[in-house]
Amino acid sequence: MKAKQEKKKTLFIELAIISLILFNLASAQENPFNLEVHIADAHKGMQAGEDLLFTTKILNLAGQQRMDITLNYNILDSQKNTLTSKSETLAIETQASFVGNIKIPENTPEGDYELDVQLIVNNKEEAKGKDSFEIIKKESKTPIKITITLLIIASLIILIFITLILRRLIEKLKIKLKIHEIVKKRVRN
Amino acid sequence: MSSTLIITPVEKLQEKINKTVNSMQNCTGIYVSLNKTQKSIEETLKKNRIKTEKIFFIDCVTSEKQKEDVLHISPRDLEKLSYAISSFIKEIKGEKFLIIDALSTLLIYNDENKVAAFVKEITDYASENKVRVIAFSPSTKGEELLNKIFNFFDKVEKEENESKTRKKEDLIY
Repeated sequence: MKAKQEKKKTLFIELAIISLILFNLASAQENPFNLEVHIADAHKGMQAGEDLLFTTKILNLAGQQRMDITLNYNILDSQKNTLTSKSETLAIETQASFVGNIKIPENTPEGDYELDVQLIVNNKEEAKGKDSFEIIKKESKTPIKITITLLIIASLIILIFITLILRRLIEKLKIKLKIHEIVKKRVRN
Repeated sequence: MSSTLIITPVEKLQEKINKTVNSMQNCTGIYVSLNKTQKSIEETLKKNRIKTEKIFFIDCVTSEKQKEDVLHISPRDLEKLSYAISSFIKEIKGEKFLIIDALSTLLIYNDENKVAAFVKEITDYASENKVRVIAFSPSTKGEELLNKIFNFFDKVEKEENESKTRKKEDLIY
């Protein structure tokens, strides 16, 4: 009796595993690609005119042989209007992960935006991925390092100038004191 | 007080200086020596029985300090030279005179515009402080360099070999 129950239990587990495999296979047939788009936190807030850097992970669940895919990148504003787009074709096998970039136009207003990526195989959209980012106020074009360097150079020039003036003043003061001494000595004699 | 530029042949220069200094023995003087050392001038003046006790020397020839009561300034440093002259003028009480021997030497070391500016500054300051200025220059072929400087003096005396004195209006180069 016990052996019969054990056999039934094993059969049940086997059936469950087979069902799971079949289900996954069916899903893979239906949607064989998985696409993940991720913008790093450091690039979540950026300025117009800069390059938006992001990572794209593609997983080919069908596990077919090497195949060509096309990735369409679109930058959309909050109204879903396309601001700029870019497209590239690459060959993948089972999976691929790479860093991509797209230039944000110079005149892009501040606000929230979305990077929308479409994976196209044989002119058919197979997967989609997106991530959001923000365009922040544009800072002065002069990088802080240049500003600091210029300030240091200006300070040095001012310092040299002050030193020269001081040196000149000290020399004059020495002359004045010497003359005072000479005249005083002569008057005494 | 007046300012005079005396242009004289080089062989008569010392004689002219002696006469000028001798005529002002009662006043205190500032002697800017540009082509002879203070020691040499003092000796020459003493040889000619001219008292030098009342004369303060600015030696622009010797760079090394030889005597405590002599100021050494480079002829290239007109700013310092001008400052030293004005400081002496301020320090010395009573009637005083300034002798520049020889002005043309400054043109060897400096641009003529700088020398002109220096002369203007000195003559203006001397005039404000009632100091008589007598500048000497040997008459040489290059004396036209003094053209820019003439105008800052009240009087220009040019002594030719035959010892004739002319007013500055007569001097055309």
